[in-house]
Amino acid sequence: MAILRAIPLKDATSSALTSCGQGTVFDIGGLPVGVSQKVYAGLHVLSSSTGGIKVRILSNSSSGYSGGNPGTVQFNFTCSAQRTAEWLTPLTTGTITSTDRRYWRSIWEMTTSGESYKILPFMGIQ
Amino acid sequence: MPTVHFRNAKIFVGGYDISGDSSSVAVAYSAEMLDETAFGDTTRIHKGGLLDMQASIGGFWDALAGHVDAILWGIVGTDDQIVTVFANGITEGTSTDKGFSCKGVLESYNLSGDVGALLAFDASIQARGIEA
Repeated sequence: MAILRAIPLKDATSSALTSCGQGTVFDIGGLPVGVSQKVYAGLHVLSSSTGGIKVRILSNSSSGYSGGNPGTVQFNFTCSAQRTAEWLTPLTTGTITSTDRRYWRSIWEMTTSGESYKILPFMGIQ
Repeated sequence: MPTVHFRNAKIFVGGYDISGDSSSVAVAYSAEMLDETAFGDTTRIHKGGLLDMQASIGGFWDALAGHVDAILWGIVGTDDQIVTVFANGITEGTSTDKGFSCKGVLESYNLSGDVGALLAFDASIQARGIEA
């Protein structure tokens, strides 16, 4: 199944991001063991600056993403300094541990503060 | 689930948001129907087959950089275009207003119009069905 019902993790399609940051944590669910499902993730980069933006999607067993439990990077998109879009290889129960990592968020870094990027990271479990 | 006043669809193709050039969108998700009717059956027996998705987009032709003509013309027939459609705007973390996304191939891009009307375009995208 590669037709994804996409859940947006960050809507920066109208207002550009101008500094590093992290999105809201969402309870999207874990990957049930023994069920043939995968986690899919994609990214649209709709405007860009010269330095590049690096977007990641993390999951965590805790909604708090506290200092001692900052979450695990599950998807690591290519650093982009131009308009682009990317789908990454989906994850299976073999690549996500049995820990129930049901809390997901996106984070983004830019090489130079003050640059401007419009992005739309999304994911889905199916 | 309330009804939707359909006015805020969002359409993304690769690194572009073409929503502002578009005024119609359709997403068709389907399964092929296999016919396993045999002698002696009294009704047609159908069996679900392969899944498929197609997106159709229409709107107003614009040739400026960053608009539909510059975006779509050059990618007709090019594999692995990442296409995402949200029918009712973008809601972060939603469990109900999910979008549709796929790696697709732009099957067609057409422009047409009648005298006195806005010049229109339409495009058709077929999902490729591959994961990454």
